[in-house]
Parts: sequence; structure tokens; C-alpha cells
Amino acid sequence: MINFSNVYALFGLISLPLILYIMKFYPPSPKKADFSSFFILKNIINNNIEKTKFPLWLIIFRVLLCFFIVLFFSKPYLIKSSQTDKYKNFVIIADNGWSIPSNLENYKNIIKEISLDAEKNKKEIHFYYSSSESFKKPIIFKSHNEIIDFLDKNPSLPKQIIRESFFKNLSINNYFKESKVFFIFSNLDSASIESQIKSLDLIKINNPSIQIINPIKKITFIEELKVEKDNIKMKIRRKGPYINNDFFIQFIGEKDDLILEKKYTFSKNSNEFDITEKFPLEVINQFFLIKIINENHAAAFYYLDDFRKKIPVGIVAEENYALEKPLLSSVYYLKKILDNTHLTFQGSIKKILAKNTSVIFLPSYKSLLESEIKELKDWIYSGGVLIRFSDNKIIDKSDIFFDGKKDFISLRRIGKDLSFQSNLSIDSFKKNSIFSSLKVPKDLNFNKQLILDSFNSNIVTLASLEDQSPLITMKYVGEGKVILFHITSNNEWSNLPLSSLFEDLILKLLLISKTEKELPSKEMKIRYEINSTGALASPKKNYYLNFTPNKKIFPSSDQPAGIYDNNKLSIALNLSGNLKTQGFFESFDKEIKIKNNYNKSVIELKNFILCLVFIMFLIDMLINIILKKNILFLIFLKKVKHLSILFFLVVIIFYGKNLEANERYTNLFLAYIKTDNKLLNQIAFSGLEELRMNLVERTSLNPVGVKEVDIFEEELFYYPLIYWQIKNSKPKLSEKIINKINNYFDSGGIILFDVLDFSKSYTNINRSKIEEIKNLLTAYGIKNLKSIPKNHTLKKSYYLLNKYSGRWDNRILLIQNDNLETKDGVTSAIVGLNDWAGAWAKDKNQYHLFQAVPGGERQREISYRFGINLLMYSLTGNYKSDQVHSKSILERLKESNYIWI
Amino acid sequence: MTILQSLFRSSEKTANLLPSLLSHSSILLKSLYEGLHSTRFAGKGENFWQYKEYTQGESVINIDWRKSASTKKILIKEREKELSKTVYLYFDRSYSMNYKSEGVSYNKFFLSALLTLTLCKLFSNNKEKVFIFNSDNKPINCSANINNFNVNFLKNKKKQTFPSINQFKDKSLCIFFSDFLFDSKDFNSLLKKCKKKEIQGYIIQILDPMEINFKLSSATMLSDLETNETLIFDKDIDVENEYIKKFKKLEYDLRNISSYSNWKYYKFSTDKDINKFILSLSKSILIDK
Repeated sequence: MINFSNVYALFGLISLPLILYIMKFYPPSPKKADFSSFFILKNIINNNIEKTKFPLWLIIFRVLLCFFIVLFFSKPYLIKSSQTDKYKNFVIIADNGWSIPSNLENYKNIIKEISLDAEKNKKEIHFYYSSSESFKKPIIFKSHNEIIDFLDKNPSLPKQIIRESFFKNLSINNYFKESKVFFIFSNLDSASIESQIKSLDLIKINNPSIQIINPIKKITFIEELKVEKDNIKMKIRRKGPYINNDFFIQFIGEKDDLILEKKYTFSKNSNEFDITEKFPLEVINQFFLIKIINENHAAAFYYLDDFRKKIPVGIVAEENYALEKPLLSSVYYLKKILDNTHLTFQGSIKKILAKNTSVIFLPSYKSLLESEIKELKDWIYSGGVLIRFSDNKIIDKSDIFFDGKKDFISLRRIGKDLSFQSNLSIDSFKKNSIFSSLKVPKDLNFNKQLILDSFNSNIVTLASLEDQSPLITMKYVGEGKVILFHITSNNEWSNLPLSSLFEDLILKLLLISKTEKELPSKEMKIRYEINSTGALASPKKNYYLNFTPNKKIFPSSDQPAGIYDNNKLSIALNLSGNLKTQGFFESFDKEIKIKNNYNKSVIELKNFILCLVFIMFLIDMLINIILKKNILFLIFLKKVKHLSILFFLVVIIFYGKNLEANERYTNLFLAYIKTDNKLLNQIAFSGLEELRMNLVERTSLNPVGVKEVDIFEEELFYYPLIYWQIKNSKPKLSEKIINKINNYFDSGGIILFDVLDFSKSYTNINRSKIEEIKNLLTAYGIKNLKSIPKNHTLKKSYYLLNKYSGRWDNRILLIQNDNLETKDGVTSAIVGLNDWAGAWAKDKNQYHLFQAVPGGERQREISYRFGINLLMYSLTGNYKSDQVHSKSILERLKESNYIWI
Repeated sequence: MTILQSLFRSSEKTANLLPSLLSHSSILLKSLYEGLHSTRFAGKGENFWQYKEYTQGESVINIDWRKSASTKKILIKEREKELSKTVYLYFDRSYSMNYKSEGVSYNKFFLSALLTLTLCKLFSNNKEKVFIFNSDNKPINCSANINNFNVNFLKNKKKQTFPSINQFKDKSLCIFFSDFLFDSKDFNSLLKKCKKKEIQGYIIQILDPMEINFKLSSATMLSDLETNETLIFDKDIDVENEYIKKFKKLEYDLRNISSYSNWKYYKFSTDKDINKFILSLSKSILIDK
């Protein structure tokens, strides 16, 4: 049967005729205008006036669409069965333990669905938390919104709960039998498996019709966490269908800074994972919180307190110390306690101090050298804590507390003939003492005791025997402390070192190194509460913690999970690691049916109608497009526009190199071959740049710039002339490169080879050297080198020259005469020794880098002229050898008074 | 009744049009004379006009040897152009010619009639025989008496038809004014026949700016002035680019057929300066003749 939550919205249906009327006039009539002739237009579009009428079927379709929109607002629903009528109320009993936040949405959704059903059936919703003891005052809601509001304002508790007392109420009267009861149950919340079984049994017996629904689908939590020395050991467990086996653990510092995030992976078919991570002690001490990512419940967060933080401690003992009779050794018992809990160093004072220890143990019978005593004193004065033990030899010493004051001591024998008391134990610890939580075992025996005759108020008694004689005393020395055990560190004077109390006493005393002056005398007060999502929050009430080491404390209503401190020391009471996981993975009684979801008795049609409206709307859009035609085509065209831009971009990127090539092709560049020597490259660049400037200044040539060319990578044929500095060692050029050079020559290029190693020896160039140069150039594929003829065009291509000076003034210039006929008689390879770039190059201050030797500035001028002639030659070839020019050249040469060179 | 009324109204409109057309034509003619004042034309006439240096390819007969001998240059005698020719003027009277878009002063019909009348006067003054085709496509001689151009010339015609080829004398000059927004089959065949009869001519396409750059600002229902058909255009639909493409094709076809027949093609947009247009048109006609 269809019902409506919002009947008034149905009045909206009245508007349908109006919509129909409006639609008749839709679309608005277009603007009217005359046009000369449709001769052209008719070919483009065949749309005629008849199509402007709104089709009837479309009107019906749209009216239907409006009808469904109205229906959507009226919130229709279908009720499957009418069985709910017999119930008076809907009762929801819900767990509110630590596991709920992990699946809060599901939890809220189940409660919401139940409430919605109640609402549709016009029943009240009575809500209880299963942890409450009374059933008389349920929280009553009338709508699902109210209950969701309530759940938002009352988050669940970060602890495990006991439900037993609540379910005992089921049998009391008919209230639960007359109501439709739902129990939102998470077995992870059970603080005791026995109590859980009892509660479920009570349901089975008293009201088996209760629907039990488990809201927890999946959860990962820290079951155990231990900090052992420099190791952190964790046990992670999970429950539920996880698709991904990976999980992440974060190690966070006190200032909320992420120190480490690490990924771990559960092995297949396993829901347990043991993590052991080793960190340096300093790093462990920085950890404040360890948490599982993406799990927002208290058991995924582990806060570290001062107890979990390890301190480096030292035991003064011989190095490579081997225990022959360990049980009698003065070091054995200390070592046993400290090795497991703290980072312990053993050795001489010097060695221990080098490790920056906070506490040093000086066991019985350990004699110190004068120098060691001095070092130890300095350390105590600067804030160290020394815990020392008595022995037979101590009587000979006077400065027991290392404060430079004389202590008068004596040895007391207990239980001997002259003693009053034969058997003395430790007096129970005072309430405000650091040891207040420790219990004294019964079987303690003391044979000997050190007695301080000069006992004064500077010495604090931390523990005493039953006759009030001191057992452990402490004295402040400088900024540090010295704690004295009035017995030996082995079982010679007492059996205390053998008892568990000794370990507790030692561990408590280690805390003194953290507390500066005061000992944690009072109970610890809560500072931050760990809330249900694992975050720290200010506590609503003051809670106090009775801390007992070695005893597991579980978070409870009196001692909720949180961080407790007394200004000096903090202790974290975590839920993680303190969970009672006994019943987590056990199966339930088969007679008890636990569902994972709530089966609704009411089906909401709202969402279905919304989908329908949406689909109809899409269809309407499609109809619109079809009626208007061409829209898709237009969109496609627009897309094509963007695509074309993209295409051009790609083309530009791909052909960018070609563009660059075009630049070189259309503009004139001077070029040099890149060598391995950076300095040479810089000189070549600077030299050619200077030559370029001179060319621009003196001639009509206008080279745009200078390019460095990598002979192995780049093309050569863009440049008419290339300058190449070579050294007197044959390079290893591949055949491909030699072919490249030859191809360049064949296409009309000229390379000026400047052999640098011969440059200085301008006076000593003889025939054998020339042969050597010729031989060298064969490595570049250049053969048949000859001296430049007297009438070579290079001498007259711009200036009239008779030598080719550079930085040096060798008269030797070799040219290649091969294949001249194919190159219009133009020489391709020119080889010289004069270091032209060296002559041309300038530094940043526009001073020439090198002197021109021996001719000075005149020689430099000739070197520029040679450069200009060379470029002219490379561009014009043998043009100046033409007979046309010979007349004027001769005339110039005849000018007797003018010396050209 | 209403049809009769509208008929009266339109004839009244047409009657009013004539005086304005005549006065406009006189003004236009005046400015045309001013423009043509310095223009003289070289041609095959009797009267000597000027000497010109001989260039290769020109007829040797025209060389003035005496003058050439005295100046040491080979000179040709050029004579003034002979003007006497029969001129036929035709302008489109279809309803599409009545179209005028917003912001334009005159419709195509008025301007083509104005151009026809002005050219008629121009040629008549030059002693040419000028014929204007009336709405029945009969050539009416207007050279002797301009009054022959009367209200009847301005009547719209329902269907666009061209005069038959028999109406034209051989080697005459024809000028056609129209928007040519119709199927050009008939016109093409007429031109082909004209070519055979060595009739020279001009195609003057008179267009409204809206017809050249078709643009719609919103959804519009257009009605055809000729057929009264209506079409609705949604502004979403990209008609404009398509129209311009088709329009260019039409123009291209017209140019092609005119060049094939040795005719000349001119396009005139009704928002442009008519003075400039008629001046350039007249110059072109006078030189070509």
C-alpha cells in the first residue's frame, strides 16, 4: 500500500494544468522578419513552420515529468506488512562501546532505518544503551531525525562494556514483550565473555523475538604494544571482509609531527600481524602516538607515556666481565632488571659517561679510582642520578654521597645475638611516597644494614625497615641526586635483590631521573581523555589513576582511557593493548540469530522516483537535441576547434627543431666546433664574437651570432665557415663523422683548422713538422694538403693580405686541393697554426685575452683582416679572382706609398 | 476588398516613388558628369585624340609616319571612341527586390531603378539608343523621351523572367540589374545566346548587406517576400556560415558565366555609396564601348 510522508506536497498536482497551459505557449514564438529570397536558405535548412508547434506527445511527457517531481516531494513509501500494528512501541537497545565509531555510519543507518519504520507505523521509539542498568527511563524519540541528532551528540564510550544487568530486566514485566525490540550488538564491546554469554542467554530465554543486529562490518585494532629496549613490538588484528591486505601505521611526535609512516601487509587468510620495529632510543623517546591509519576508534591509537620511554642507564662494572658465580655477583641482579627494560651500558665510569646515561648504578664492591670519583662527582653535580649500594668496604669511606661531606657510618647486624629484633622486614610504604603502590612481600630477610650516624635533614628516606631505620635514602648533590641502598646489590646482606620488589623499587627509582626534585607522591590526575575516535580531549570530570606497575589496568568508568599526570610524570592508559579480546573471534550460540543488516518493512519510493525524474530529464534533453538537430554537430565542430589548436601545438613542438634550423638557414652564423676543453670553447666563442662585431662594423655582412657546434650531434651545413681548434693528438673520429665532414666540404663549406700545439714554435717549423701536421689532419679525413699559393683568393677576398697572422705569426697555411673542380675551385679545408681565436678573443672588460706575438696590435689587426677575408671567401668563393677585379687590385697594389701588410 | 486596398496602396506607393526616383537620378547624373568631366576615351572614332608611342603588337596601319619622322619616335595616332550603340537596360522587378534590412536607406528595387534611370539619361545625352524593358519584358525606347519611363516601369512582377533573345539587336550593350537570388538556368542560357549575337553586357548584382552577411541575433521566423513561405531559425543552428558559403558559390558562378560570355560582373551593396559605384560603372562602360 502506498502512503505519503508529506501529503500536502500532493497539492502540487493542482499546478499541472497550469504547467500544461504554459507549455502550450512554449517555446516562445520567434521574432518575425522578412527576407528577400529563400533561394540560398532553403538548401541549408528544411525546417518549416509546422515544426514550430509543440508535439502533443512531448507535452504529455513533460506533464508526466512534472507529476513525478510533485510525487517526489510528497515522499511516498510502501509498507510491506502490517504486523507491526500489534506492537506498542519500537525499542532500540544499542551498544555504545569502543568498536562503534569504526562503523558509525552503519550503526547510525541501522538505527535510522528502524526509527523510520517506527515513524511510518506511527510508533514511538524507545532508546536504551545496553550498558545502562535501568530500563525504567528510556529516551523517547518521535522521528528518526531526533534520534540521529541524539547519537551525534552522544558519542560512544572508548571502553568495553558490561550488559548483563540491563538484560536481567527483560524478564521483569511485559514492557519488552509488547514492544518490537532491536538490539544493536557488537561483541567487540563486551568487557567479559561470560557476561556476553549471559546477556545473550537472557535474550534467548525471555524475549527470543528480539532482533539482534551487528553493525560492525570490519575493524582493525592494536591488540598489544610493548616497548622493549629499542624495540617496539605490536600485534595488530582485524576482523571483517577487507579487500586490501595493506594497512599503514603512523608514528607521531608530541607536536603532532609525523615521524614515520609505514605500510604493512597482512598475509593471505590471516587477520593477525606482528610488528617488530627497531629504533634508536632517541627516536623512540620522540614517539607520542602510534596509530593505524583510517581506523577511527580508540583501539587504533596508542599513546606512549614516560613509562614506555626508555632511558639509558649505566652499571659500573669491569669490562668483559664474566660471572663465575652469578647469583652471588653484585652486578647480576641489577643487570637482570635493567637489561629487559632499559638501554643498559656496562663498563668503566668513563665509558658509561660517554654514553650520556641518565642514571648510573654503582653496585657493591666496586672500587673507584680518584680520577673516576672526580668524573662521577662532576656528573652528579651537573644533574646525574647515582644509585649506589652498600658493602663491607664502604665503612672505610667517608664521602658516601659524593658531596664532599663526611658521613659517619656503621654496620648493623640484624638478628645476631646483640640485636633486639631478630627478623626485620620493610615497613609498608607511605602513601605520599614514590613506592606507595608497591606491596611488601612477607619473606624478606635482612642480615646487615648500613647505618648513617650523621643522619640529617638533607637526607630523604625513601624506604625504611620496620624499626624505621633507613633502607633507601637520597641526597641532593648539586643538581643531581645520590640514592643509597643500605644493603648490598647481591644477596649477601638481604634477600631483597632476589625478590620481585627489588625490580619494582629499581624501576620506580629510575623515574626519579625524570622527576627533578619531587617524587610522584600523589595519585595521577587525568589531563586528556582518549575519546571514542582515539583523539585526545579535555576530560569532563576529574579522574585519578592508581598506578601499579606490572599490573594491567583496563579503562573503566572510574579510570577512563586517557593521559594521567602529576605535572612531572605522565602515564597513558590506552584502550589499545588493554582490550579483553577473548570473545572477539568466537562464534555465538546457534540459536541466537544475529543479522548484519536491518530488513526494512517500509520501502521508500522517493529515491526511485528521483532516479525516474532524472532519466526522464535526460530523455527530454535528448528529445530537445533531436528536435533542434545539428547540435551535436556543432559541439563536434567546437571540439574540432580545440583539437586543431592542440594539433598545432603538437606540430610546433615536433617541428620546433626545424624552426630552429630555419633560423640558422635564413641567418648567417659564425660557428666553431665544440672541444673537450671548456676554456678553448670560451676563447673560440669570444674570438668569433669579436670577429662578428668587426664584420658588422667593416663590411656589409651581418652575421647574427656565434654558434657552438657539436660535431657528433649537430648538422654542419647551416654554416658557411666553421672554426675548429685541434690539438696535436689524433682524435678518434668514426667513419660517420669523417663522412659528415667530407659531405660538408662537398656542399661548399669551409673549415679553418687551427692546430694549437704548434702555435708557439713559429720559428721552428720545418718540413718534418709540416709532414706531422699533414699526418694529423688525415685523422679528420683531410688528405693532400699543400701550402697556400701566392695568388690565392684568400689574400684578396676583402683586404689585400700577404700573411695570415693570428696570435702567432706562422707563415704556414695549408689548404686542401682535392676535388677543386667540383667545388668551383674553392678550398674547403684550411689548416693553420696561428691561434686566430686567441688573437681575436676579449675578456669581460673588453681587453684582449692574449698578446699578439711578435707583431703586437698590428699583427692583431691582420688577424682580424684574415678573419674577414676568410668569411668573405667562404661566402663569395673565387669571385675576387675574376679578371674584372684584377685591374683595380693591381692598381691598389701599385700604390707605392701604401704598405698593405 | 482588402486585396484591392493593398493593391491601391502599393500603386500609390509606386506612384510616389517615381518623382523621388527622378530627382535622385538627376542629382546622381550631375555628380556623375562631374566625375566623368576629365575622362576621355580612346577608341575607333574619326576624331584624332592623341599620339601614343608604338608598342609591339599594335596595328601598323595606325602609325603616323610623318610625325614619327619628325620626332625620331614611332608614334601612333589615337582616335576618340565611337559611341553610337544600342543600349538595353533591364532591372529585376521581383518582390525580393523590395527587401531592405534594418539600417539601410533604400531597398534594392529603388536603387536598381535609380541606376537604370540614371544610366538611361547618361546614354540618351550621349545620343545612344536606350531601351528599358518594361514589366512585360518589352523594350521601350527611352532615349528620345525620358517620360517613357513611367510608373508602369516600377510595378513588381510575380515571377522573375528575362526578355527573349529576339528583343536584342546584334552587337548591342545590355545591362542587367538584379539580386540574382534565383535559379540562374534561364539567365545562363540567355547569356550564351547573347554571346552568339556578340552582345556585350554587364551583370550588376544589387544586394542588401543582410544578404551578403546573413546574421540572426535570436530565434527568428523569416518569411520569403516572393513566395510568402516561412522558415524558423534557431540561433543554435549554425546557418550563417553555411549561408555565406552558398552565397559565395553563387557569386562565383555568376562571375564564371559572365567571363565566359565576355560580360562584366559588378556587385553593389545597398548600404554603399551609389555615387562612387555609378561613376566607376560608367567609366568602365564608356571605356569598354
